Amino acid sequence: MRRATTAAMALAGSAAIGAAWVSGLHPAPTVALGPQAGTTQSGPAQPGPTTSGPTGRTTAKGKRPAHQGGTKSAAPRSGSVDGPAVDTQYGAVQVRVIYSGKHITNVVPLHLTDSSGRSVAISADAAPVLRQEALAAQSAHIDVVSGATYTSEAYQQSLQAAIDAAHLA
Amino acid sequence: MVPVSNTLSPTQLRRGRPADPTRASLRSGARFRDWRARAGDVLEVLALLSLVVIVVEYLAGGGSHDLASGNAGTILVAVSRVTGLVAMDLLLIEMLLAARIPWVDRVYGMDRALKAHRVLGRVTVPLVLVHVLTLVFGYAIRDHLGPFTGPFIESFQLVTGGDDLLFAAVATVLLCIVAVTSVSIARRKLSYEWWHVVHLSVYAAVALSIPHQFSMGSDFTRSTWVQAWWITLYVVVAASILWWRILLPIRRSAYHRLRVSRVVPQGAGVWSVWVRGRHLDRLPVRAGQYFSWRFATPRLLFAAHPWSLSKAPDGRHLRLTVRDLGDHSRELRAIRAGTPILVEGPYGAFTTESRTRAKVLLLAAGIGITPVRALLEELVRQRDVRPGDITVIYRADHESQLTFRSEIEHLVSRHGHRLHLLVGPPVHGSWLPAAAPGETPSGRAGDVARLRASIPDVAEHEAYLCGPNGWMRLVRSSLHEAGIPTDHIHDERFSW
Repeated sequence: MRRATTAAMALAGSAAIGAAWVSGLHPAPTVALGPQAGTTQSGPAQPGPTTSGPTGRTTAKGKRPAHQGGTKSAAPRSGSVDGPAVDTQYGAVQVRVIYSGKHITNVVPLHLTDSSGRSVAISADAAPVLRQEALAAQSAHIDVVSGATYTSEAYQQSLQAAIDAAHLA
Repeated sequence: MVPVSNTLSPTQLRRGRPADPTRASLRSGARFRDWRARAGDVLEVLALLSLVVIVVEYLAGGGSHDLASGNAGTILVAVSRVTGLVAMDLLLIEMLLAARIPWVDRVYGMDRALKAHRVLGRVTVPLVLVHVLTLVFGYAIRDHLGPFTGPFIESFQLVTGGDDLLFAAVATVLLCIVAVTSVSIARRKLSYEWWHVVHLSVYAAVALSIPHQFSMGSDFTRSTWVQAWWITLYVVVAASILWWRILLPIRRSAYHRLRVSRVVPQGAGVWSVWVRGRHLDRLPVRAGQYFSWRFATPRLLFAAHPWSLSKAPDGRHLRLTVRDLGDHSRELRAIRAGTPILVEGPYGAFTTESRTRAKVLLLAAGIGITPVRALLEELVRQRDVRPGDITVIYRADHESQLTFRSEIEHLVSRHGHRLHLLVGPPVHGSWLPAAAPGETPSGRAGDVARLRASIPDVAEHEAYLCGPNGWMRLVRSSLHEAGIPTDHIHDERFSW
């Protein structure tokens, strides 16, 4: 590499990494992301309220979602909405619902239980099953995956809150 | 700085008018150097950028939080995440370096690209091991397992917990085997064919490691952008390998229909293979380059050999020359005329494309003469060089090993160029034969003195050298000490 390019690259690279280090030090309780292509969502991201009880679990029902998108007047709309991060004793679970009109087209796990290698493995196994069930049921009324009770329940809660927020029910 | 009289800076060359073929050729050399510097910058910035993007995404996504304020288990898992991400990116860069991409070849030459590939490989495999070990220990601590049995229990649980980590474990084992075999071939304990077969399992290792990245690695699935980024990288790498390593060679071989024309003995243990084919004038090949050759015989089809052209391509024939090195080169002797040939290539940046100096010094040792002879022929034939401006130095252990001696003498004498034949057994620490009585003794200083004595204006030459690696190292340092800047010394490394 030529000297000028090397210097520019070193400066830009270290600046980017430094900025990323600082911004990563205080991660938001939920992952807030910009609008996705082809969606009509707008409005600022709000951190989703999560509370930790004695068991470290929370019910998200009735609480505001992390990320509310879409103008209510325009229909049919498509977009995505993030459920709140629901804490469990094995780590938080948070899902994003991608919808078109009243139809749920996809459920993406943004965060799954990760307190240990075992819980990562369990939730990684459970997530595809839960996603399949949710897409088939088009709701959060889905069965608990055996062996992954905490993940399943938290998944249901995050999903239900997202569905409520997007007025899909 | 006073410019050396016969060296043209890019600006001088742009301003000047094409007075003669030499100047025109030097001007195009300067233009090529400009392009090469820019293209090299772009490639290197892209490679570094891919690393920066990955690290930034990791840190901003909470990596720095875990590293700065986590407990021991969290820190270990965070280290594991970042080493895994960086190792994956390096693996992709390595695969691109070995994918025979034409821009990489023209900018660095395949020999240097593959050297970078090896150096990165030495970093990647340890990174993968760190990734695995920190993950196991980190999770063992988080699961409150004992310090001695914990890692074993944790590994067992991880590998049996879901298919994806089992695949990843297999991928790790494959990578380690590849690393071990690559060290072995460097030490000449393993045949090239075995090494190659094992090395191909890297593709399997990378494929097996992908599922766990997307099912468990939150750094891969955090957002659609991040996912799209990684998927784009995978698609680009896979498409490059598929096109440049597989489809293009097949297409080229099918189009040109190369066949053996005849085999000619060239002296003690050396054979030339003449190759004919269709539309050879449309084959984008230059003197000094090589192909990977596969001859359609039962024993040679599955071993591609990199052999240089020993004749400047003339649009009708190709000629490669091979010395019997004990492997497959001996079988070429018995190859029949008409045998079909599959080629990959041409590869190599050992060409006159970047020449910006009028005077040329060609140095060869042993069978390294093959690409040098092609360069000489090209320079003489295309009238790129003024009479007397080429000096050839040809080193051999014994007079019988001076392959192409008469051809070179003919090419050199016709245009008043110079040829120095240096014959004699190797001398330790010197690239020249033993010093005659009265000369400076062999060695670092002696070699430079003798080089300057026989070529007083050596510093003004564009130098091209090819021979055994140890010999080339000594020549390079002599040339450099004699005043040739590094970017005017070109070499082709044979044994890689």
